Amino acid sequence: MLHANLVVAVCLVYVAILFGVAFAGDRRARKDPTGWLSSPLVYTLSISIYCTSWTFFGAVGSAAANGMEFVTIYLGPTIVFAGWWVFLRKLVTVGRVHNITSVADLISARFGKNPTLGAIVTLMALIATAPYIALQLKALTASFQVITFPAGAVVAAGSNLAPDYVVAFWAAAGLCAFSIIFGVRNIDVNERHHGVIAAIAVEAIVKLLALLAVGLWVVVELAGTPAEVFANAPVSLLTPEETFGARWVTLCFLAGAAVICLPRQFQVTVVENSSESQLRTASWLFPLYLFLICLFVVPIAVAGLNRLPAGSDPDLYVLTLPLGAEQDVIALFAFLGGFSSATSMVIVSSIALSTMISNHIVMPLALRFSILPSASAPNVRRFILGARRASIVFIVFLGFLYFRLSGTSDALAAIGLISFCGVAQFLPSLVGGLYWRSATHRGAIAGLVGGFIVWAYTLFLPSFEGFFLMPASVIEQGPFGWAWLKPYALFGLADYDPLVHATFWSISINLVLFVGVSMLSEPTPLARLQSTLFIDVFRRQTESELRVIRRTARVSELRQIADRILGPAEAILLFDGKGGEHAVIASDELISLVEQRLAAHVGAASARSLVSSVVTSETISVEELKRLAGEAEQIRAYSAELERKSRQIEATAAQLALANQRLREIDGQKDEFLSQVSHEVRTPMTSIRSFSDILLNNRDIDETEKLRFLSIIQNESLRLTRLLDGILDLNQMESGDPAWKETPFDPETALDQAMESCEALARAAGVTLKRSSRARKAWVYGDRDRFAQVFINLISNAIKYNLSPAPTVTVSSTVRKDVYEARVADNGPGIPEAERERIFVKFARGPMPHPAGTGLGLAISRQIVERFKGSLSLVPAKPHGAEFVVRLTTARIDR
Amino acid sequence: MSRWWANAQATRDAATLLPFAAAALLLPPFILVFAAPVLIAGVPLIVVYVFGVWATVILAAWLLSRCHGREPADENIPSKSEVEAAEPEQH
Repeated sequence: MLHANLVVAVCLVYVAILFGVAFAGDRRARKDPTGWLSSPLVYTLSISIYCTSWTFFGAVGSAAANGMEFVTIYLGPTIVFAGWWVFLRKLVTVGRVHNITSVADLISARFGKNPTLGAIVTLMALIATAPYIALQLKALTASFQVITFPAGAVVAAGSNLAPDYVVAFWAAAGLCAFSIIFGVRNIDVNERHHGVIAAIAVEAIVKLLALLAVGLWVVVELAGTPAEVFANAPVSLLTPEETFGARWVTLCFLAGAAVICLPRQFQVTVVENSSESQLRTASWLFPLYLFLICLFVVPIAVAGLNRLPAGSDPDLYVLTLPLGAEQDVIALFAFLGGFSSATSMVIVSSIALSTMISNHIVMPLALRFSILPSASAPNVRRFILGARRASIVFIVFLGFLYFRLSGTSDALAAIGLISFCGVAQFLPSLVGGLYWRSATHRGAIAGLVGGFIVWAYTLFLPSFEGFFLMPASVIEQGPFGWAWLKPYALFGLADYDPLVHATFWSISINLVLFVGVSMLSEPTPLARLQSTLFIDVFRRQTESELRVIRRTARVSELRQIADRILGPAEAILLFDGKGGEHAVIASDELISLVEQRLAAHVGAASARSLVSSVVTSETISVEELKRLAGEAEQIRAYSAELERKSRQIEATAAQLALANQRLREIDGQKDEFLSQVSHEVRTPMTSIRSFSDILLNNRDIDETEKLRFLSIIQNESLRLTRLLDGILDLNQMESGDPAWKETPFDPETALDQAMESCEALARAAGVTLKRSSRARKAWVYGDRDRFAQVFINLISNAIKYNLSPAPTVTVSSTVRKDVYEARVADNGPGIPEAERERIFVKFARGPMPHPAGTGLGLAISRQIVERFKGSLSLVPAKPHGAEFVVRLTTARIDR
Repeated sequence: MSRWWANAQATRDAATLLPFAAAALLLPPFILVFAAPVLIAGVPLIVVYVFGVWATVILAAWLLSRCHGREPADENIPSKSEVEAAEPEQH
């Protein structure tokens, strides 16, 4: 036996140390918010408040009674955390991105910031947590009574001690004080409770070490080899088939649901989370913690069964084993472990629940009945803090009341499971809300209320065994003797364990109502928006809200609210940093920002009602909403469109580059053309001017000489005229101006005319002009005279440029496949490869010792032929001489 | 690049599979295979099995969290850009 004063003193010292840690944690967090207090290790340790005194004492009790069943409570969370990638990651990200303050806040925010939903979830959480807090008080009281029992612990555990409610009361009062001092100093939930979390982390280490110490002591001192540890193990452990039935599955499911839905677990896992890396580490470290906690549970249970007298309370083996062996230090350490697990659970639970109560019950009521003190900012903050402090006292003493009412009979595990089943009712709305777009607030309300009523009827109320609301006769025979409504055998389902029975009915009805009512009802526009924001949390961030909700409010009124709730310091930061100090009407952005900040303090639903009270008009753009909902699809379409456009732009750019290239070429040609024209004009002008100078200045030139000079002047003038005519012609043709007549004619006549015209020239140059094959009955469309001009040009070129000793020019024509071909070939030097295209360019002449023509002939000829849709080209690769060919499509004319 | 992507995809697939595999191993009917009254070195088979599977799941989760830690967290990119976008406002 340990003296009560000693135990109390140790507890007080331990609490003092926790106070110190919490103070240091708060101070450190203020200086460096990203320090080790936000480390994944501290985060994981804070999650381990899942292991309460129910774990610390009850796991061994459960193992002694039911074998392996106790591990289900830890396997469920292990699966949830190891599978964080599937669900937890999304939940935590939503909580972080949307500044969620509690499980009630998340559900109410998801379903359109519905205040009713938040209140329902809060009430349910409050009622479901009461047994759990009662359980902690019971464990604290019982462990204190046993360790200080004057006749020795073994006797104490064996005799059925009445709970000492005085101890329970003082424990409850102490817990209230600690929670209030550290949990409710500021009202911003998102500043996170660093001090409390630091203290909780220390407690997590203490309880783990305490249980490990007892376990190691049992294995090393009392047993030895593994075989000895498990010698005389209970039957349930050696023939375990019975364990793995519906109850095993139900317990795994409830534990997995509880580790998400319990308000305190939600608080430490979601609300206190600051980065994904914390969760990533917790995904293996938290299961490892649970594993270590459970490692020695079975050996302790077996040792307790073997060594302690029959009838000892198995829930207290952790204490009574070392006490029975006179190991007072280990016993005291074990007591501290149990104390740690109980206190940390109550502290975090009461903080989480007090936030929920103040945000979802007190605030909405205060707003509704205008009892919020409006005088000044400190008053409102004091009101909220006061509400939270009162809530903590209320919650802890509700637990105390449950403890007082439910009496002594229940084992620890049974009480805890009642809570688990109660909070598991949140699961359908939580999971459905994060994955199912059509889930509506009506569906969520129906599911939650339906499931909760069934839970209360089949599990919670019967747990009082007739002392509270439900008389014992109803539990035995059903209300009014209706057997089909018996709480433990609803609709005749009698063969199941009460927990499996209650879980089955409550979750089934919850699911059916949630899905059914959701499908029958329409979500509000705001709920639709929220569902998109929550479900697609990895794809978009909060700013999308701005484009959907259009609101107007006066800056002064908005500022008044911010002053009242956030305090003047933060309000100044919020309003003055935005550059809109002088605006009268607040922008959508500012309104949303204020609402976000308010939501972090008082929850989404209350923040919305607060902001709505000063908003004069609000519209939710249905078009934007639709667009937002289909955005995933649109992003895909948009990117396809972008791709198509960029291809188009690329093609256009290539075309532009090509056009630019051509423009440069043409510009160059134009420059060349101009310089050539000036040059060509200058030559005849020079000779005209010089001869006219001679004629003017020298009066004594004889007549013949005069005549010769005049004829030169005339010839040069004629050449100049021809040149200018040619340029004019070319210019007209290039701009497509002249309206030439298009009549059917026989091209042979044009060819013949050309040959006749050139005969004199040929004879003068000593060139033989030959006519070989001749086309028959060829008709083409065009201007006969123009074609004659083309042929004359070709033949005269062939004559002029023929430097061969026996010069010959051969003209031939054929019709082949509707194409008329006229060829003019010579046996001259031919045209070098490089010149083949150049000769068709203006002012380009063939290689001749002296300029023989205007250099426009071929250019004009080609223009004429192309104008009538024919072609003029040089026959490629001729060994000697050059051969030009004119091709024209023949006309079909019946004559 | 493609190899990194394939690895990241494999990590995600494995992370998605892990809870389902763990649940299948720890729930009936599969667990009933090991619920036989057999002792292994004096320890009941079911105890060895449950704690063995548990340890394996923890090990797998640890390995996966290391793989996740190596890959750039693509989901964080929008929030990062948001932070960067928000920063100039404060000045």
